[in-house]
Amino acid sequence: MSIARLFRQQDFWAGLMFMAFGAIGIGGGLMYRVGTTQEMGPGYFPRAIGVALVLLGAIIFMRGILAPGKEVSRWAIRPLILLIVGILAFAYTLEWLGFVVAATALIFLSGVGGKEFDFKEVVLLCAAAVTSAVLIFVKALSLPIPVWP
Amino acid sequence: MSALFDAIATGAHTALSPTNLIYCFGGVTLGTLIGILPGLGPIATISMLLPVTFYLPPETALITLAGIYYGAQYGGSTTAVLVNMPGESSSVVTCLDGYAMARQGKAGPALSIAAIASFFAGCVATLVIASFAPVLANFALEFGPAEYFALMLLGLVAAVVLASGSLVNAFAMIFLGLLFGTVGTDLNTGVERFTFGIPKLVDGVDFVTMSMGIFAISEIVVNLESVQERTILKEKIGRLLPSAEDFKRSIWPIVRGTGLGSMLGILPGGGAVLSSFASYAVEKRIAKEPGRFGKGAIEGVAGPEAANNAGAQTSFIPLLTLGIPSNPVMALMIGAMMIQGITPGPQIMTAKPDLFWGVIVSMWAGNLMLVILNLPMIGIWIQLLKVPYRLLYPTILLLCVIGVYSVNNATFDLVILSVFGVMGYVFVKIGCEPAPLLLGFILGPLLEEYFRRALIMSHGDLSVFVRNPISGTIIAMAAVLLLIVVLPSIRKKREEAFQE
Repeated sequence: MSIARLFRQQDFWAGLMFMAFGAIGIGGGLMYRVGTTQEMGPGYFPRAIGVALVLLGAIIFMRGILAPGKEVSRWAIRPLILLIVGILAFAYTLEWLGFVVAATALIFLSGVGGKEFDFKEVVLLCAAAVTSAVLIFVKALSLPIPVWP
Repeated sequence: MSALFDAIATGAHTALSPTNLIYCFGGVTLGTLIGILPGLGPIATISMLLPVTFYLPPETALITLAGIYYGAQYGGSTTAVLVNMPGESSSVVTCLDGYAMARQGKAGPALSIAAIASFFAGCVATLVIASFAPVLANFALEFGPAEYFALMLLGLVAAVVLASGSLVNAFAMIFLGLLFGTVGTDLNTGVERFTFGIPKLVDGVDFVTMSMGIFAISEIVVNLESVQERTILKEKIGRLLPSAEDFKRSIWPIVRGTGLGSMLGILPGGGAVLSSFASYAVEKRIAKEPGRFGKGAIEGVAGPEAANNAGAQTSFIPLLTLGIPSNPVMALMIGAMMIQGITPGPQIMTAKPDLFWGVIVSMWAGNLMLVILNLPMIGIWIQLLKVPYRLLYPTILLLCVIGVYSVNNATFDLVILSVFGVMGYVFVKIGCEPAPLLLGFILGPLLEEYFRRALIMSHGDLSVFVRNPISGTIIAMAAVLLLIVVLPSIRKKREEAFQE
């Protein structure tokens, strides 16, 4: 199997991911006291999970190499990045510039992430969503969210 | 018998109070809505709404969440019939004959039968819960840590075996969930595990944030990968009432579906999806003319719809009696109960009878509301099908961030939300279904606790789990279940069953 094809295997990446997480669990066994079966320390359970994860990950990894199966489909990078940037922008601006600014940033950034971005439509959506969110969450449920800067 | 009536009266007192009726109505309406709207499942919705329920009394919170869950089963069948798109995975089979009926101009009868079947199943399943739950809860009061550990093991194994997709992947996802569950302060020793010096992680990963990231955020990204074309039925819905002939054909499938669903729902890992598949297979097998199936046989709508609703309801039995979730939605319910300060388990029934019976009676009330909501208002729901996704997802996203922020009023939680959002999307891309992770995450801390306690009591002797008769039997059941699936011949059949 060519390297390029191997790199498209779902199992190849899934196996690697599980083994990496398993290594973290085993690392927990090294960092924290493992103890005995009768008197378990904080490291006992994470280490056991880590070992299981590494084993299962290895099986999945080998399956990816020996028996090529489903391939990873194309990543939707643009929506993913814009959505995440939107959430982070909301987090960054909320307590500083207030909910209206933060929510507007979130809705516009995520709106641009979609395939059918229509500026006027998003403005209307934004006005409606922000107004109703303020009415429901801040006025009716009185959540402590700053509305304005 | 009179004890049962007393209990139901207690429940009615709670469930039929004006506040709880309003929240129940809100729950089922919302459930129907998300069942109908594409790309928004019950796991994502319930995790989005969890923060709101923190402010409610426990019984009201659970009544609302339960309403969302079974309401979604109803709504899911509406889209299955009208758009040939299952709103929920439990209504996949309804598409086969429901949509075929709709194309013959019989959408009305199909929707009515679905609603009637669901209502009948809901009523029966409520009775099943009311009669079986107390017995099981009494039995479970005797359970010690070893039995609980074994039960949770069985639950996890069953959840994996009955899930679709690769077994090994599902197991690995459970272990990953267990690993996430260890983050935070270890209860026994006070040591901080995997906190990496981040003070916010001392209390562990917040399950609302995690499930919202992994389910809601990544679901949106997956939906944005391609622009979905939705063709809304051009044919008229036709008259709503089924004919006498339709009724005659549907009665027995409804009864059989209800029975199947009630049984499979109790099994850990069972529930709505499996029940509907099983019911369709049974009806097709025993039909006089199996050729009619797939071409608009009303039996193929009636049976599975009864089964999925019955299964959805009886999956509350393990939750309310043993404190063990049989599916990810029930895992979220456990999370909701723990935040309310209620430890799920057999003691709920005696310690909080108004909560226990209130939730059960509310299910019956909720089912009645659903019939009223669904049939006469079907026109309004069809209008909702036309809402384009590009308007929907920014709104969902806004609800998510408000929800996550409101849990602790901390913007750092939103950073964790983004991390889990990316992680959830990666899981989908590399073929790892995220639902088992949630089960592992919720059960993880309990599993560790019971494991430790059982071994302290047995002085480190691991054989305690097998020597104890009850936990030994349960572990044997888990082992048999696992063996059955690993055996190649049966595995092949399982794959065929999921392909059908």
